[in-house]
Amino acid sequence: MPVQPRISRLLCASALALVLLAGGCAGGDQAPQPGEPGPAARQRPTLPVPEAFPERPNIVVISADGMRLDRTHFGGNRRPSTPSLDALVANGAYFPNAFSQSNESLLSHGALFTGRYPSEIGRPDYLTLFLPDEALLLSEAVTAVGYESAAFVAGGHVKAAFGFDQGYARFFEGRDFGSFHETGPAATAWLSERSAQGPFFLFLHGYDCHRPYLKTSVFYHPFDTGFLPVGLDALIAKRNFSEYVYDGVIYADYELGRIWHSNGERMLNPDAYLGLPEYAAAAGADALTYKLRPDDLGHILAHYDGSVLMADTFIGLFLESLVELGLWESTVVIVLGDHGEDLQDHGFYNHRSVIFDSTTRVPFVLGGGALPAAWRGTTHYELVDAVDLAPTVMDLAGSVAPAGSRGRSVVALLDGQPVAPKPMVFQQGVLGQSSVRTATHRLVFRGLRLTDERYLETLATAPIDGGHFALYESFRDSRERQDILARAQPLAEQLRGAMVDWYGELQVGTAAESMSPELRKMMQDRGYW
Amino acid sequence: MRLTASSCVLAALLLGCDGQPAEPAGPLRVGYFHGGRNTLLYRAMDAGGYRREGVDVVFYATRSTTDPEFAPLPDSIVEYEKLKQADEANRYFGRTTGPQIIAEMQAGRLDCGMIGESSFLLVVDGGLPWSAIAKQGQDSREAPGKVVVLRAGIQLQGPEDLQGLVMGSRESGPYDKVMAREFIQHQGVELDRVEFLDMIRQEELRAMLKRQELDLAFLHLHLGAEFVEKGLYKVFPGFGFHFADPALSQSLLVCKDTVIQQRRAELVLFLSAYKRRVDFELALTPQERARFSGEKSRGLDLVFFDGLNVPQYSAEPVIDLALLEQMQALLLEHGVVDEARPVAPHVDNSLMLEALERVRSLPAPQVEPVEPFEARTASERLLAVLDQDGDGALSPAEVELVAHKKVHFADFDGDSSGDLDPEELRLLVTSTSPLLPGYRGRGRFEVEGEEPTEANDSFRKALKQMMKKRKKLKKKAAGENEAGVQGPAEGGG
Repeated sequence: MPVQPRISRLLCASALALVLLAGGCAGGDQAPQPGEPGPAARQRPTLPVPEAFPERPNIVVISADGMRLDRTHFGGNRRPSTPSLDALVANGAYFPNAFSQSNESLLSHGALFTGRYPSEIGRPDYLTLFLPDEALLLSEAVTAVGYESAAFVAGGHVKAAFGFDQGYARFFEGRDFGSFHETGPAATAWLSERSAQGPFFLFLHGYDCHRPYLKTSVFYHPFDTGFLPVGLDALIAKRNFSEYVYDGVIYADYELGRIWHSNGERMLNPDAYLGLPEYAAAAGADALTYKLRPDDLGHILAHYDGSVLMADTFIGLFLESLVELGLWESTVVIVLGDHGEDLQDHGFYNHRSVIFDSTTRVPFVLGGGALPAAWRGTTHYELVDAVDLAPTVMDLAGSVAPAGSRGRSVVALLDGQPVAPKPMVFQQGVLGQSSVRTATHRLVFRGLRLTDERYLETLATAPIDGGHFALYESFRDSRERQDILARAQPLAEQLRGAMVDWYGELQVGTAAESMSPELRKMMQDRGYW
Repeated sequence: MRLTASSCVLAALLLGCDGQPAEPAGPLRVGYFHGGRNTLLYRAMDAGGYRREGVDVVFYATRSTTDPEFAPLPDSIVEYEKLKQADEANRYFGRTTGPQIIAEMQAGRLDCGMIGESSFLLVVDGGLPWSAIAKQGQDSREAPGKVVVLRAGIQLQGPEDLQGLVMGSRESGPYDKVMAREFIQHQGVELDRVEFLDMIRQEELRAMLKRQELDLAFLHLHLGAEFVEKGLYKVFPGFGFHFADPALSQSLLVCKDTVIQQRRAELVLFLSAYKRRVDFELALTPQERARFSGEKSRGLDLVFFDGLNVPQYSAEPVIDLALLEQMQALLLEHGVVDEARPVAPHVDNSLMLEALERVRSLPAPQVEPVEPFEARTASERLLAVLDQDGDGALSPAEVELVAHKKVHFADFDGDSSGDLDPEELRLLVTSTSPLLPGYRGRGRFEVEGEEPTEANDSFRKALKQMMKKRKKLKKKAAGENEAGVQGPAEGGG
């Protein structure tokens, strides 16, 4: 039996893959025949570059869940982990100092979609927090100004159960903690079937680089071909493998525990991370432990990098489909991460335990054929953070940000307008940490829950050297492993002051009221009220 | 006239037409010491800058920490680092000092050398017919690059407590020795009340600091920071570089006057390449510097330790005569030289000025055109990552190397060509996934679903299996080792 027809049948079984092929099930007509030049040899016409920014372009926001900036090739990884995103960066606008608002998907995506800090979305209780119906989400705001909106999410914390389905004409929720492999083709299918004439806003999401660093499609170890795993891969394949590791040692008897969100979603209890170092210190000889070898640790890192490569590939395939559908020239693409991952930088293999660059410094790239020539190939070193997304998208859509948005549009930076640099970004961790990150330093406050009544008082009055605070020279100590607070207390105090001021301005749980008069009028004009 | 001309030809072979000895042709031989103040000259070489300018340059340094003979350095920093690390006890290209480079130039084995300004002033004092032609790195006034450290545990109530302490400084030109004394004087303490240990070789100095044998030390920033961070020393209380001008730290490129005269054009090209490297590094943003500081070929370090920083480079690397004269006064004060000989005749900035002019007149560097995003497909880009032999397709071996074991090459080689092209690779990537149960190859594979964690027997079982397998392998390897075969790396249970 000839092989080609069998593959074609195989593909026909998958409607999603069909769309990607854009050739339908016609028996593999699109595939090159023997002797024909392959696609690599084809000349592709390049598209014209606009001089000015088009009015109301299509806007695509892609969230690569768990993609840590410095594991991307354009962000410093020597491995070629992101060939497609590298090309997007080369043709786009890159913000290397971009940070998520939190070290966890729910809080961080909440900030992305509301333009508000996690505490403002709702009472910052991990077991009850979700995006309330009253909150004005980016998807609703952009819909209100005439965009058709669609989201293709990979479940986990970014799904309807947490309130992320608001405002969309189409909301696709793939399998939990799923891949762009699934959401990308679903988005392509929607675009190819779409009949509306106006611009669209599309949100695409995938957990490809999320733990357990295994969603590497068929390419299991693209960056560690010489390593003999001897049982390690079977262990990595266990979903919660990474949670049992602390400081390079597996503690297999450790009880991770489960918690239930008020919406019924079950999840790993992040409190378990707090107890792991203590458990590790006290683990007796009878505990089932295993000290991973340096090459094991390298292999796990290679798995993560392989996952980044697969995320990049599937994102690249989706962007390619925009070209194939003739949408590239009219579209702006924003690729970002919602959090990073601690890859043993501070002893953990996860993102919720600590709040550092490892867990919060993420890609932030604007690309797409609608980008004017002046924006292309530019790098902007100013600090940007997740709350900047909503104002940016609304700005690109020719509108204004929802009132109370804490961020600001990056369009002025792209236009080369004089903009005062953002002095610092504020972040909140799922275990109660608060952090201030300047261009050079990071101050972390920890030890209390965000919901603790004494939080602000402790933050404001606790002795700076009393154990609640740590200061890192992030600029020099890029892994933020050396606490320099003892020798830089004045700076720590200054940053603590900024954090206290920031908390003073926070309006807990007020995202629901974030409708500016301008936006309200715009929506009323379009018949919403 | 004929006689004179013939004589000149003859003399030129021996001395040059102007009566000076003819300098040998061939590459410019430059004495080098690998450190923060000279590194951009080396990076210019590493990046092929001298080759591009059409000038042949070889750097020389002492062969090792114990072998003072000079040897040529590789033209790649990566190779240099490999050599340097190859032998810990006797490091290749161990620290070379200014006086060693001067001696080598005097012996005729080097044309030029990179030396500190204090060493250069010894050249001036000796009346050697050499001139400084360019400045390299230099500490900045805002963030000096040297620090005085005090042994941890010593409590100072006042200057009198400095009396009787032992202060060390490293082997170099006279700079460190002079600055250590300036510091003590600035504290209001007589020099004879402190015991100075000068010119300690770097390795020995490090060992002494480790053993806390010195009470005080005048150190370059990296070394000082290292021992402060180890907690063995602390920055001298209230330390500020107020006892001298911190900018007194110029590293200079010094050449024999005969070389300057006879090989001037080559030297200008040499300096042009250097200047272009300086421009490149200065154009990097602080973030890029931080990002690339781990790379040996890019990103001049920024350190920022207690208000201090490593040497930086000026965009106009001409020599500051006033600083040299200031340094000479200090050498005079501390008895290093006997008289203040004129320095100006030994400074020739004209070559660097010519190089600056030349670089300014060159066309701006051509920016490599960026390939438009749409010019290549995602699978072409992925293929380029996975393609080991660069033939534009994936062979069965290349697929096997990286793919999940359940992936069968033949399932995707649609045209039976024996290679996967980008289109076939796309089919493979999009039609299969460990996440999807729909893979219809000869086997199926899936990630295991979420499991209960309270009694994670499955995880423990997998770990035990791994430990068992590894133990078995280790045992096997130990047997093979006995037979002289290298076993796997040690693991821990």
